[in-house]
Amino acid sequence: MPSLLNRNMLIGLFMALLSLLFILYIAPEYIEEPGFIKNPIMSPRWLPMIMGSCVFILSLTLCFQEWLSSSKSIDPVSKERSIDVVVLIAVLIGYVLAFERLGAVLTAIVACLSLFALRARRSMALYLLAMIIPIAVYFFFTEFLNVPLPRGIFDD
Amino acid sequence: MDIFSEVLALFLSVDNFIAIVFGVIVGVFVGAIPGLTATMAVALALPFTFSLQPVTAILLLVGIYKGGMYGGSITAILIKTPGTPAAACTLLDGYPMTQQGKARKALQTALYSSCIADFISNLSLIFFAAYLAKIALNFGPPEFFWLICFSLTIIVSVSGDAVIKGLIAACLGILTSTIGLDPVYGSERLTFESFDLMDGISFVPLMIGLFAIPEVIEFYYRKIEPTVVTAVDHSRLTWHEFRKYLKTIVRSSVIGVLIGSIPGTGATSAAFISYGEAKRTSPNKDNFGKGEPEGVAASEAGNNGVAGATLIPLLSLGIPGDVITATILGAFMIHGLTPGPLMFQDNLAMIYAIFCGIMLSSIVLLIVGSITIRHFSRIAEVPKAILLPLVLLFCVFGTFAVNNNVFDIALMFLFGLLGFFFLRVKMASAPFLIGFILGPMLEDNLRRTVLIGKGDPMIFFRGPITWIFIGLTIGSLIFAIRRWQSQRSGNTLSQS
Repeated sequence: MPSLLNRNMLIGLFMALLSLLFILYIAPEYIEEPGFIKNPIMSPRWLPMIMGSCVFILSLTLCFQEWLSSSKSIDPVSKERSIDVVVLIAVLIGYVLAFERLGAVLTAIVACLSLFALRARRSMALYLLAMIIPIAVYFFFTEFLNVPLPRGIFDD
Repeated sequence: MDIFSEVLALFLSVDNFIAIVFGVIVGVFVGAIPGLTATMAVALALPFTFSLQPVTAILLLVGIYKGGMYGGSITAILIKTPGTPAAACTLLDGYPMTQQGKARKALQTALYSSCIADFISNLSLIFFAAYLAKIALNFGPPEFFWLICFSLTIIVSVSGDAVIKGLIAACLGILTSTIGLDPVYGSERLTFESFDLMDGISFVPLMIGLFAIPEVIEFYYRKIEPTVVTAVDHSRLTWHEFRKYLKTIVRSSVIGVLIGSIPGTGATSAAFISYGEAKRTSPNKDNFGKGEPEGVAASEAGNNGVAGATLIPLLSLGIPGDVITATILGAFMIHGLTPGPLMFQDNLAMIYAIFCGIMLSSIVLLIVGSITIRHFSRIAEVPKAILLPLVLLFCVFGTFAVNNNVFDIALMFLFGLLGFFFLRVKMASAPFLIGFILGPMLEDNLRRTVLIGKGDPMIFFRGPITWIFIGLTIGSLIFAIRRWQSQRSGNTLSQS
């Protein structure tokens, strides 16, 4: 009896549902189509709809292929997971939310300090590095490359 | 004889040598920073050329361009973060080599392939400019359409064992590329009424997000010892090894030259097409994507082969092939020169002086690259716990620099999560990227062909160039399907 649910089967089902949602709701709702188009290829909806349909067909093919294959095994996945990833996600969100408010340098220093504290050997030199490198990179971008990185709370 | 002495007088100046060396060094360093492209470096350097002599100014920009093209591969190989879009293909084999402790060998392969490709590209520029420009002029929308169809067939090659998942990723990439205003009618497509999405999705946040961020997430996701350091093997690329890849390098360089001489194609497509061709013909095809030096050589030769060739339509016809050559065209015009056929009549000595400088830039690139490899390869020795937060810092600053917009940083992280999802479900990210790059070109040329043909489908088969690409597309698909079938039957046998 072939395995009904393995990882690829789940991906296939997920992608098929997603593509159906796209074809039936997202594309008609969020792609404007001018009324005067005669040739369907010229429509702004044509390529997205074709791609959505391709994803749907390919996803079903993936499910069918998995169903036919006698392999019951699920790819080995390491159970060794860390909650450090939660801190990383917080750092990523922090970068987006605080980049303009706090400024590029301060956000980068906080992010580097947080991530160094997670996995690196804790030492004074490393924390100094977490402060010096963002400042140096900031000056390289702003002074040498003329990139106006936000100064945040240091803005006049 | 007069022209010869005039060329020497124009070329043999200390300023020219300084411009080339400085340009290549700046290009290599800027190219190696994620998010900062050679295009950006050339554009930033343009104002500095106002006070220079025309030849010196052009050589400075060309030096930056060539340095930037090579520099992009450094971070792609070492930290899976392509410095430039064209280097995205290099990481497919370059990064696995670094993980195996062969960072130095990968960097050397990239450098030597880049220099040889650059040299071949320069020779093509000097000797075949007029001929190649004539071929390039025969490329209209139908020819471009089939060229892109042929390019899309490489998706099967870069999908690894999971071809269906690779095709899904490619479709999603094409779908993502349609976000923004429709190029013909200006109507909104999948913008969800967001002003930031009106211009579409920028290439840099997508590329960095897809390749660099998943590595960072994966590192913190897995519970591993914090003191793990990549074992670095300091072995060098031997002549015997390099000789094996020479054929691939020359073939990829020629592909790069042909693609570069067609305006509007670009180094990224050239790199992927060269990689696909190398994989099809290599005896080590099964090792591609797992740390095969030939893959690095093909990708780098492909993207650097474009460098000199993009100057062919610029110098011979006055048509800039991409943004960088458009900037160089600007530099010509600032100095009162108009590239095109007339320039070969009126300023022949200057053209040849520039050619001499361009040839010299390949040698300078080899020297600068050889010196920097020693230092850059040490990056692989830095513990990931220290390296990855700094990579993240460069990614954030580099992405912001593209449009000076925090929205791009958010996009980069979103694509990072998508890349991480791809990584976990063993879906290749490269097809997504290829779909994203080629999608707009495919749609644009398809629509233009339909408009030109006024609904007549025969326009798609209008001449020998279209037939050549149709043949290549069909041949490539048959080859890929047969290979996939044999791979599947091999896997089934090994399972049983």
